[in-house]
Amino acid sequence: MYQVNPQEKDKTLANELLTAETKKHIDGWLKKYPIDQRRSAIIGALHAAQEQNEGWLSKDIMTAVAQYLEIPPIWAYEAASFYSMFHTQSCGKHKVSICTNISCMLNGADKVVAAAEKNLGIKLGETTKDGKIMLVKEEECVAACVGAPVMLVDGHYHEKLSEDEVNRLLNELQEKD
Amino acid sequence: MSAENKIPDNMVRIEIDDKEMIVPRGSMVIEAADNNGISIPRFCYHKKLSIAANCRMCMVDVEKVPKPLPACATPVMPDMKVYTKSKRAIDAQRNVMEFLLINHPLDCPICDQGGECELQDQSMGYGRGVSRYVDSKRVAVDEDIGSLISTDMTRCITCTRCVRFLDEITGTDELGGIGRGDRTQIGTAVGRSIDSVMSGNIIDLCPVGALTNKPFRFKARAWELMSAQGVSMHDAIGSNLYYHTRHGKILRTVPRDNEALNEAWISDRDRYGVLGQDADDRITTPMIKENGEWKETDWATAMDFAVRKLQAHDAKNTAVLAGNQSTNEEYFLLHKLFKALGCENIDYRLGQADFSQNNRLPRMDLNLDEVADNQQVVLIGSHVGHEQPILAHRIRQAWLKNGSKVSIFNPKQYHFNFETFHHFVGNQIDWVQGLGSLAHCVADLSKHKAEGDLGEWINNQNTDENLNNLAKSLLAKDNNVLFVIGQIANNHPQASLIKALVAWLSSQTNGKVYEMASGANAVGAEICGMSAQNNVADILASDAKSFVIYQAENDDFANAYGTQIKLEDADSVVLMASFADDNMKKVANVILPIGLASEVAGSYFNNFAQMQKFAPAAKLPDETKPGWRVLRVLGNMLNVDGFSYDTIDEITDEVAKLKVQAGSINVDVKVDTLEVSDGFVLFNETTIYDVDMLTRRSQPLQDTVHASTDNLNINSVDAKKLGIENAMQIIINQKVDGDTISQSLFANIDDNVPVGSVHVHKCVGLRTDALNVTLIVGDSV
Repeated sequence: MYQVNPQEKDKTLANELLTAETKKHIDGWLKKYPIDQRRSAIIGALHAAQEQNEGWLSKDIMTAVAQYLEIPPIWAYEAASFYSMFHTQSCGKHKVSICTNISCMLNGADKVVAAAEKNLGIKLGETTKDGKIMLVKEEECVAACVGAPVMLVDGHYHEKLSEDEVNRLLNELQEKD
Repeated sequence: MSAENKIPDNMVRIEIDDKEMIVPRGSMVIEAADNNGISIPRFCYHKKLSIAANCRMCMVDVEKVPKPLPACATPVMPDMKVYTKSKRAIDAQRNVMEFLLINHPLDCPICDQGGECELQDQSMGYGRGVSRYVDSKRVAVDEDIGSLISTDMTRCITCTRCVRFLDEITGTDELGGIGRGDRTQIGTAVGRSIDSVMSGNIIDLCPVGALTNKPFRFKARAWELMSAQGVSMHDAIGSNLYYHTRHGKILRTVPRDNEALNEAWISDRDRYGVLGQDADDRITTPMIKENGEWKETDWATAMDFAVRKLQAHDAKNTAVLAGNQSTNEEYFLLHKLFKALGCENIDYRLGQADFSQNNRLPRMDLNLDEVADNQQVVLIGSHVGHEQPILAHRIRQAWLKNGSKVSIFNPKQYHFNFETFHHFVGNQIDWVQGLGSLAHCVADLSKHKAEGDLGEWINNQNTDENLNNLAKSLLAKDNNVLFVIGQIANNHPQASLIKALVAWLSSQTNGKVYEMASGANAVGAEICGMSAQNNVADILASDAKSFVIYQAENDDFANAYGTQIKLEDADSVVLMASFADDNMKKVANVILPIGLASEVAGSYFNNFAQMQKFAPAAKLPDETKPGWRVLRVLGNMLNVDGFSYDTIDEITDEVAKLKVQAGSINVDVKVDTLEVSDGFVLFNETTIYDVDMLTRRSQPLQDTVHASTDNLNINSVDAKKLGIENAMQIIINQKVDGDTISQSLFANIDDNVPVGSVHVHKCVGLRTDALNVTLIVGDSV
């Protein structure tokens, strides 16, 4: 049986940083798993924390999540640094991710990336000067190969993209607040 | 076929490289190979850690399987045929090797691991002479993880042995794999230090030069080192180790496997403690004090001087006080010599406060490797991870493997690497009463009352529901209970009451007792008779005028303050030691420099009264002599018979013939109740790196977070009441025997300290044998 090592009782950061809404959300995830496998709630918990924290995870808020889950903080850092949907540095308000995995790549993801970079004047992993749009450094397969190449704008799927379509989407995004 | 029928159900027959073997069902191919002398290359597999199968180096060829399999993660199957040297296996291993070397820097000439590197060795066997890789290599930023371990993370092959060690063995989870795929890096993610007290083992586990020994960095190459077997000088587990020396100087320490004691690990204290050997106050030439001035001299002069000093006093007025780090042979001669002279003031229990039931070995009802078999463990006055780190590891194993319930009675809330079932924290008086309450509950449930004073005292203690539950679970049938008596209990002014309670509880619960010895060779000192007469407290209160201090210093004493005053008043102090700090130099008249246990031949008895012999690992510096030789000559000069030993073996043989009487605890004790009327109850803790002369002087250990501080730790409730804030300067007063000891300390608000108690480290100079203190905050008195 997998066991979680006893953790320090200190929950200062968890109490200070996590909002009631985030905690409620995390509690929902915690209910889904046995207590000794509460590590499984980490992804849901980090999502909630990221949403609360303007779209990115600071060291402190990751530690707060770990404290709340009573798991070693390093597990939160590991998960946050592993998945591309978590951002460990402050980032733009809107997130644009372009899948560059095999299906999308074969169907011209490189061109989509080039068009997006040109349109926004930034490279992958960077944020526009006005802090509005971020091109996510690397997106793994988003499980929509049937519509390759795929781009995600704030979590919404846009499929079978052409360069014109990319420009249209990004221009639209720039006009939003 | 008939042979096959004889295979038990839990075993299977397999063949590796055409060699037939019967191995346990469910074990892995790599274990079977290891146990049968077939070598399979590996990086991530370690017999004491979980299986990760992420280095892929141990690829082997299995018959009827179309691709190579990792030997570490392939369970044995009946009649399996494994080939470790077939073309497919070797090709797989070579290919993996090539991938591992893609990002590995070619900096072996400046790498500390060079010459003892598993990657280097295996690339000799499986690597190409020339790399085909031409692109740029990955680099990683090094983190500073403290004073013990240095990092070169570019060399890391992400085998995760260190991550698994800190998760599974120490339970501290301080390292992790940050990032993903080819960008994964091992680190702490937040740039913190690694604070486990067993952290140094990740150096040995690291198969490459990513984690290396920081104090040893760039000191020597592996092939220049000589290896000598040694035994831990810092706790009574007697961990087996190797000292690595060059030109007779110990440069580092590594573990020596002993499954019954330290398994494959050693604590950081055992790894780095010996580095105190080169401290500035090491004495390497005999010295005598003339008109208040220290003068270096030769041995003959110094010995004459010492003999004259000793002869000037009647043996009745002479006292011999020894530390607990010396060899049996030294204790044996020390005792033999001064007993023959008629001296009755001999003791080694310098840190102890209560001597009323002593002159015996620690009670030890089991072996160390049986600790993990107990379903219930009760820790009594013990910060076990800091007192005997290997014992804490065994208790953790009990929790991990058997789900053992660990209950704790302590004067401060410590963090343990096992879950606690019942955690009783109270000040130095309260937690003993808590233990009494437990005894009361046990007495009520079992309908057996303790006799005499103890029974009456137990009866006066309150009972409560929590303790009653604990009592019930201790009394449950077929329940192996282990009581561990720790150093906090050993040094407690009510030690004899605590021990009597434990002895009584163990008799009721059919439990076993593990009583910690209070130093590396306290058991040896006891066996050699060092406690047969007056105890330290009596000696300090007597009119002894002539002192022999043997491998000890002021800080070793429970009453360091009174010791210093007594020694300042003495007519003569002969110091036989490796070190002399300013306090000792102030009081001593002559210093005879003797070797540390790592520099002499001899033996130790561990907590389990097992004798472990060792040969000298390091050269004695300059004029330093082995203690037994000095004592032998002293014996002759003082005309005592039986001091004509030529070799140490003759003494060792005599020690081995001494009677070893198993320790038992007396339940019939006189109970003195302690009360603290005003002020606070002091908890004066001897910290992990303040246990002996060597650890106090080991800079790498003193640079860790576990080093002693001059903090005064106090609960936030008390702090609020007195208007105390963090880092505020506080005067603490301890009134004992008409003296007032005052120290100025820095407040640190810590809710792990119970209300009504203050916690300080022993090095600040307060006595451990008296509990009442008062505080002065700012101007308000």
